[in-house]
Amino acid sequence: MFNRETTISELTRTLMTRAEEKFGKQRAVELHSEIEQMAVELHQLSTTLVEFEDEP
Amino acid sequence: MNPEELSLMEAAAAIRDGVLSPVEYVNSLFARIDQLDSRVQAWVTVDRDEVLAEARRCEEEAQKKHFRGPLHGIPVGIKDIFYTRNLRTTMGSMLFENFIPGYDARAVTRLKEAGAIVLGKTVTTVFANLDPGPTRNPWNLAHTPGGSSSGSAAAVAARMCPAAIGSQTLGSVGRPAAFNGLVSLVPTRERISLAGVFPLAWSLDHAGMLGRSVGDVEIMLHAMTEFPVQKQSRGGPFRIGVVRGFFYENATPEARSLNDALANKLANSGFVVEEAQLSAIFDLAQPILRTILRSEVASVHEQLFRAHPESYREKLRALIETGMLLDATQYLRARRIRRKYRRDMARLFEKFDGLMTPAATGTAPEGIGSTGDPVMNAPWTLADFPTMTLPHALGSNGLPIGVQFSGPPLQEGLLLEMGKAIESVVAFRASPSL
Repeated sequence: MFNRETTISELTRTLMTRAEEKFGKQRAVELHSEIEQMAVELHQLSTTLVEFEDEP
Repeated sequence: MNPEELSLMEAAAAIRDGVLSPVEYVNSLFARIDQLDSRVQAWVTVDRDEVLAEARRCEEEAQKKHFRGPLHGIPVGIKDIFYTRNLRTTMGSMLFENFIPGYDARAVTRLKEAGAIVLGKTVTTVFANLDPGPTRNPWNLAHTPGGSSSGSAAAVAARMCPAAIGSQTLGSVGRPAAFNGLVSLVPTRERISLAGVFPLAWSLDHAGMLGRSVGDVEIMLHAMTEFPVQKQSRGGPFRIGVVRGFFYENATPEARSLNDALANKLANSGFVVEEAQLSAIFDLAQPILRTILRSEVASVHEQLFRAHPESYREKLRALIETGMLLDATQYLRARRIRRKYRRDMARLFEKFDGLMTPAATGTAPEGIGSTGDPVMNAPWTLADFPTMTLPHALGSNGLPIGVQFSGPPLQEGLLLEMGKAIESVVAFRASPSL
């Protein structure tokens, strides 16, 4: 769904589209600030380089 | 002797010595509940007939010098997400308002085996998330008791029971303990079984206990643990790492200055106290936590939510819905980074026996529309480090302030010994004047 190059805005748009499909446009709008926050968190998780010493 | 004023340790000793009757004890707690609970609203269900019958059995056994365990005849409160056989368990939700489980949660079984009497079920926020219940803070009824273990904390603080159990996914035991002037312990997750406990988020949920002294929570831990807790004493002085940074940015000026004052007091009392620096991965704590929480809460509730969306309040509803937007790879990446987070954070214990932070952002907020912010507790819950909260001061508004200590995984014995040493230095004696 996401990769390192995906921006927070793109992530937000993707998640909003998914929310509209699942819950309808009105509810997606109500969830917008939560979704924006989630996009920031997902972006941070996907772009921060984490080294796993115990994995090859 | 006012039985309701006894700590768990004192009451257990009094029952064993034959100077306190379990029947007299529960009757005094019933009177306390009658006197206060219309204002505090800590209890959902109290089955007095069954409690009295069990107290009589305990009394007969005590008269024959037969004691089931260290909690013989001790009435305890049980958060209303732990299943209790033949006793209503509502999860704080109207969806379960008449649900009566056919079995006890494993943790409740362990308490009963140790001789405890289930005094009743205590209020939880809805499904142990952030939507509050009706409970008020016994120190000041205009303030929240915190949550989600709201009723457990308020009941112990108001002397309606000597100890209670709760659960913590973010900060649901440590925060209410701090807001109510109590001692709490949230052990490493694997210590206490969560079988028969309605989940909020499987990999983050922990059981915990609240009492009025470190000795109280120690007895509860020994009763509830799935494998023995080793007593651990420190060869030299305890080494305490004060963690400021993120935690001080989120604390009130008063909470910061009282925490610093306590650190100085401990340093002057023989503890080795130094500043601890968090590792870089701490910056990912919130994204890891929120991603895991959203995904797991959505998974727990998806079917119920689809069938009864009208029964969900806003905070939990939004959490479920946003969790339903995540995919498996995002969730698994968060789980994978969490392992690294735990490992990196645990390196702090190479230098320290315990890490010290404020237990909450400040005193309990005014109003009961919110249970406060779990930000001080959640990073340690994520790491699965055992944490203890102790009261140590009163804020300028007369409400208690708590301090939180986190210890190395599975080293609750060390944390308890350190807690006792700190408790003797702090000597916190205040109680609510209801």
